[in-house]
Amino acid sequence: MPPAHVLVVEDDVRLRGLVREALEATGHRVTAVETGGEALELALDGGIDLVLLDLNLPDVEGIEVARRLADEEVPIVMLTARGDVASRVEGLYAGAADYVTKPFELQELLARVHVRLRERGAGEAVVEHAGLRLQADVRTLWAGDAQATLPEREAELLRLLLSHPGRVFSREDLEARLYGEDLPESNTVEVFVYQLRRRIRSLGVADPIRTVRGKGYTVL
Amino acid sequence: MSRGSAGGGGAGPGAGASPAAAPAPTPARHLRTRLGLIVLGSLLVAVAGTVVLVDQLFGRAQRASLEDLLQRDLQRVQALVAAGTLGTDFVDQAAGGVRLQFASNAGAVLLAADAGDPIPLAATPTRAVSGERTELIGSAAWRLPSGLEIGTIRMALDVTQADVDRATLRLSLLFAGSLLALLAGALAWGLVSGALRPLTDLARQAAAVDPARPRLARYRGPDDEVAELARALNAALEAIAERQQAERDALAEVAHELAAPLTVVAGELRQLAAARPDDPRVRAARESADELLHTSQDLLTLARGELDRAPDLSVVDLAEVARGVADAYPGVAFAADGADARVFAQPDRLRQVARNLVRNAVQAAGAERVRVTVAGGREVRLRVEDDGPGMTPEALARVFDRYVSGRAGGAGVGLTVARRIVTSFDGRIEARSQPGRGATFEVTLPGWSSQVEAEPDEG
Repeated sequence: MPPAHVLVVEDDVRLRGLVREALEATGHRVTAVETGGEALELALDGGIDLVLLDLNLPDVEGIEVARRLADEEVPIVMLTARGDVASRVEGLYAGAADYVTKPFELQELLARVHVRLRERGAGEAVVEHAGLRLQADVRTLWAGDAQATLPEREAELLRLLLSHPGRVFSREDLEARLYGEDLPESNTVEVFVYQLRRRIRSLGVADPIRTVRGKGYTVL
Repeated sequence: MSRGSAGGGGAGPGAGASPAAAPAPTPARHLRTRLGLIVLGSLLVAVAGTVVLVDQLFGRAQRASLEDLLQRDLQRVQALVAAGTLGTDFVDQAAGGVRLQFASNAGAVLLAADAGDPIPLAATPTRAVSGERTELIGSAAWRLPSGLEIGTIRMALDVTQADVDRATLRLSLLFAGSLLALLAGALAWGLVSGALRPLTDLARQAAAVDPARPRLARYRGPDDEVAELARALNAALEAIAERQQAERDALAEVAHELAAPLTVVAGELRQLAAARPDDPRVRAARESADELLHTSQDLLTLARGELDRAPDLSVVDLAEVARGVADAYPGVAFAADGADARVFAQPDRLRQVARNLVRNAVQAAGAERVRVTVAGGREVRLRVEDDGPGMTPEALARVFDRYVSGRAGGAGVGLTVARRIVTSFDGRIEARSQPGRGATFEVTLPGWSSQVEAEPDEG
């Protein structure tokens, strides 16, 4: 894994030190700050590959920081000690890619950070998996030399699935990610998946999308 | 405000597991049936009473008027005969259900207008049966114009039709009354059913309340006693939810205070132990700190209600996870059969399960006497065996119960958490043990391929 620039936002000075050292020990460059204000300033300047964000900050709520960084396409891993599951869900909808609950083991944190950095491709233009290559910005899907142009929602759906192989996305989750607040008719996601699978097969390759019974969809 | 946001989380996608969503049991005795029957029964009794009363009153009045008629006719005949205006040929004119006979003092019928039976003597009007007819009979002295009494005038009034009329009236009353009673009973049944619907609806909602996330019951109906019950139920639920939220808030506060220092202690000791691998005191401190960290994680996982939320599933290799956990406890033996051991699970929680089982076994038996095996396939099995002191059947039966420690040094919370996590992945966990013969914990999860729908139009 190429070294990345990680922004650590944590108000506890000792925890900040521990996380910084551990990340630096695995070869990453770390900028550590105490407040949401500093974090926003740095992250909005660019050059950050991942933000480790404490949910409970002295000045701005962590969720607010995540919300303001939502357009930056920087993966955010939340650090939380709050018992309220709801706030964490809120965090995920605000744009956080993942969360780690305090107290945590350093290895767990490092593992999550690595997964999210690897998935960084999710925010990039080209995603490749299982013999498929998707260039999301022009909505073009290649399988070898064959290519197809996808409608916008299908391209977004496939980008999500391809950039997280093995992860199960529930229908509700996909709906929330594709539509945000204004939820569509009930079986729209099924229709998209069905169309997508037909398009992939028509390119002459095996379709990697799988329906997990009662749980959602994944890509193998 | 905070409760509102918690409710928002509860209403989230998937809605996780709702363990207490049992259907409301149907009562053995229905109030509506009981009330319907009571109304029907009491109306039937009332009808019967009315019929008897009316029948008696009607019969008495009918008889009085008939007796009156008979007496008047007799007196008229007697007066006419005594006045000499009427000859004995009068009897021939008697008609219309009235029989008239003149009998001697000795009782022999001297003159009769019909071929019927002799009419018996009756000083007061009396009922008598003659052939197929029921008659009201009466008699009066037979006097000649000279005043000489030579016998009796006897008269019989046919009352058969009157009896039939009375019976018809009785039957009509009985029929109409019963019909009305039945109608009223059915009406009562229907009305009570309607009135009870909000009540049974409430019962169903109350039975479906998830104790982890009580939600208020919806009530649709008139503002009556049932509405009062609904209000009381909701007030109780609200109080419970408030209390739960307060406990969660307090716990979150404590967790927040403890979480950072705990993470720092465990993390720094791990770094220190890596730098000084030969120092037994550092190793002991590191192990204890890890222990503390893991136990707090288990406790907080339970207390925060995290397991009430649907897990974030990915394809995870259980063999890989178990190997990683076993490696963290030097001395623990690990083996996998090499078959596909991938399952749909949340990786960190699956690790928590494996860690809790292995830690439990190591504490009971020592690392050298613990074996971890993984068998792949359509069902993937993780087995943790130890040669420790084992458990009594009583201890075994309660080993997954919350806050019950299965054996000395064992962490009851860890096993409770393990079971809840395994269940959330649609798997199961079993424990086998005998005193003196160690213990075996086995986790069975559906293999990933069995969870994936067949592709209908592929190939």
